[in-house]
Amino acid sequence: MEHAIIAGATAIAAAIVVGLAAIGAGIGDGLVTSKAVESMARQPEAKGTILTNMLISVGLIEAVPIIAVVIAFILLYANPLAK
Amino acid sequence: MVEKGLFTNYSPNEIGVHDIVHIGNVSFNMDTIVTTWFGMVLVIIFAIMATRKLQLKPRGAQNFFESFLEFVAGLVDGSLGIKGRVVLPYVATLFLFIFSCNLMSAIPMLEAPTSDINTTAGLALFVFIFVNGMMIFKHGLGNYFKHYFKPFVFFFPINIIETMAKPMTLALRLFGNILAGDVLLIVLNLILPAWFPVPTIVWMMFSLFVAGVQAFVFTLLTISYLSESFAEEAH
Repeated sequence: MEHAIIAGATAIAAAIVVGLAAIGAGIGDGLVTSKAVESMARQPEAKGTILTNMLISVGLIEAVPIIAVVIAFILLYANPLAK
Repeated sequence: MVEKGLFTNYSPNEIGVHDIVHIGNVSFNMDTIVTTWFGMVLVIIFAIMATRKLQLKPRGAQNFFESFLEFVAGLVDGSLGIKGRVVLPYVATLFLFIFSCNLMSAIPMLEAPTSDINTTAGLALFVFIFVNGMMIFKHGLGNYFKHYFKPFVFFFPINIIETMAKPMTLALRLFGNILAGDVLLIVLNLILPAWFPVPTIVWMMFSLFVAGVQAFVFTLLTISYLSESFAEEAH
């Protein structure tokens, strides 16, 4: 009975974690990329610099959502709360 | 941790298991160590190929290596000035090593060593020692302790947290990106039939792109953390 409760709670927890992480990563990357595309349209000769900075920013912004995905994986496959 | 033999399964189906070897009281993840050596061998082979017969007009591997070094030197010059060229060997090696380690997930029986928190934590620990050591070396021990109180005295906890958080986020960012890629490869392998490999191939290509981007972000952040100790004329 306890194992069923832990398993169910773990499944819900992992799903909520990944969902919120996806929302955060999507909104953050969308803001950065929209500003980058807009400034590339205003000044096409700066395209290389803007693209580099955009990729760096996406790598930085996606750090914490990816840590959240790793937490969800740990909950699903190596759950420390289930024996 | 579940233990298994070295390279015993032809398509890794378990997440988070490592081949553990116990020496005394300490346990090592042997498959991570072996794949780290493979990553090192890749970098060494590439370096030997590029510097074998140095010519004034570079061709082939030497050309690629030189343009890569010019790219990293451009990054270093932008943040650290001309005196920053001393860190160029370390930074370029970091980029190449992390990139070649991340590429190990493309080889059939291997997992990327950076999908183990031990590898990324080791890299981040060395970056921590290097950045703080560079600051002590350039500005002296007294100035190093004083810089924690720098804008105002009550910034001390914020500066301490920032010093601790920088290598931790470096390690966790690289670990999380590569682990998520590897795990999704395993999951796609499990749920897709053998006659439909298209999502696996698409995800493999994206994972190679992520390998390059994460190596680049690690390198760029290391350079930017070093720029604090090279900024002499700003204040």
